[in-house]
Amino acid sequence: MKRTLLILTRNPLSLIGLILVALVVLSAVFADLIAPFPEHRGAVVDFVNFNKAPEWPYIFGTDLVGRDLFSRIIYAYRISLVLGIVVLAIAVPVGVAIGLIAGYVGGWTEYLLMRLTDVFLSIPPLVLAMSMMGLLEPTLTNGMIAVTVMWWPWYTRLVYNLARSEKEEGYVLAAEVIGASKLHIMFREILPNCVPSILTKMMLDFGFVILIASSLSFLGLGVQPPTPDLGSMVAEGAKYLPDSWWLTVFPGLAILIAVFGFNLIGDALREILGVDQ
Amino acid sequence: MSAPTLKIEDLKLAFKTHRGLIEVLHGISLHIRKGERVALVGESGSGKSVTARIVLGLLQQMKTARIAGKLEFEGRELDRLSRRDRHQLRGTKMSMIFQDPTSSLNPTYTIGVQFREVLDRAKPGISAADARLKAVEALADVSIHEPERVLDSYAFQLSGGMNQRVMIAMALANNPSLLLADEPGTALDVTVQAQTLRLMSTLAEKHHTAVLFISHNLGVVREFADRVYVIYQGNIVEQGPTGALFDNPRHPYTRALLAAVPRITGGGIPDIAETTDDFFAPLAAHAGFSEKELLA
Repeated sequence: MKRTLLILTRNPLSLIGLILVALVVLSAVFADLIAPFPEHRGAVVDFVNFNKAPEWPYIFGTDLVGRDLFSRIIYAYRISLVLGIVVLAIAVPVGVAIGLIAGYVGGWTEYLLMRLTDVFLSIPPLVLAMSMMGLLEPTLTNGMIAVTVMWWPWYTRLVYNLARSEKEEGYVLAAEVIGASKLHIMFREILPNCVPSILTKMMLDFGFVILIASSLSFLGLGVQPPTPDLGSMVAEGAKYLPDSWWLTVFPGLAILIAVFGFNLIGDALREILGVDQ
Repeated sequence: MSAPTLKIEDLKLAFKTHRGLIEVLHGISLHIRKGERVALVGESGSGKSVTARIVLGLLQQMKTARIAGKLEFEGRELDRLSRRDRHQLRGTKMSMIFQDPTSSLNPTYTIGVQFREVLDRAKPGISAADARLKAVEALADVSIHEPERVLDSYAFQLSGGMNQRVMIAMALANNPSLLLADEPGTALDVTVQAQTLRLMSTLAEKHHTAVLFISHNLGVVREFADRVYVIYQGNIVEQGPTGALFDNPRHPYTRALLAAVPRITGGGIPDIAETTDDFFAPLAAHAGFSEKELLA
């Protein structure tokens, strides 16, 4: 743990990543305390202050109905983080389990599971999520479902390849010899040896999940107004460029900070856990 | 005489490939009695390791493997046993030691945790404290001076020789009747290898465990085996007591193999041209050491 912190803080890029992620997470968790206008996350209309350039107390300016952009961005972070956590919490276990089974058991099981995975991988991720959202109501829950469905196959591929190489290791044979069950070998012997790679990918993916979710709502397929969402804020503001630049620039920067931060941490984690890609 | 610990009769193995069946074992017979140390010697690819895997029942799971012949373990025919009974034998009555001790231990668990798993096979639900006590005892038996520290270490924190001793302790922890040693310690340097093998040998004696040494190292075989089977291209070509076989090799292949023991002048693994009479030389059993006579 000490060593982890040391590596994180010694490398300037990792340090930046750590600061950015801390910034995002803290503002999302303490949104109620930080946001100057907490009520602006909902359907509030204040036509006196509409479409204002950044000025005190609206440090990021206001949107077309007079809501504080800063407050809305902070609440949007909260939604993005929840989405990222939920998507990974479902996609990772599912993908990992399928990958482990396919990689270890082999034979027809492997063939079936991996071809199924390939079907999902062969469709461009955003297209898959878009077509799913086209069938479903555009809500936060359905957005999470759509992103989850496109996300698990990547973990299946990763763990499948890891399991196939770990399977040849002496300790797996030794476990087979002492009569360990298939389940034991998959989840207690092979899985722990895959954890570093999985963790690293999760960290790197967190940023991408946020990005994809934002892309979906940019296209109007994600979270619906008045719920604040970074993607839909950018989409909304894009119509008023370049005059009302703050409507797009600040939400865009917010996405950049989150994605960039999680990626830097992911890279640092890769180094710490000794995962080679 | 009681039934031998392991008896293999006319064991044949072939693998199905897209080019047809490839025969690996052409009907080999061997046996090991209780507490006996028997070596199976041959070059790479002669069929030594697959024999051990068939005994353990690991190869039977392979869909491409075609196996025929009779396997008896303590008088019970292995192929007649239910899957469950057969599985029950593994890790309790039969155990195995591998070439590379370090890679045979999972790098993500401490030795203590893995030791408990081994003990749990014989005594399901053994408590952590009991397992630790037994493990400390077993490690002390293999001359490990700080068993407590070793139990809390990971395999990569210990030396190869240390890991080999841990493997030996684990393999013998459940008092197996048969220990299959597949080129034990080949990954270690020679002095450490000799030390650990001596240890394994004495311990096996103490536990009355029969050992099947699988090796290409004639020096090791000469020192540790009571009897030797020489295997060449899937056939047993010579068998006999260690001393007689080394002093008076009968089969041309055994002679060639002995001639290939590394000396300063060197030389490779021998081959017998498949067109010569030597290649078809019959099984050479030393007086009183044919399967028939031994099992009479």
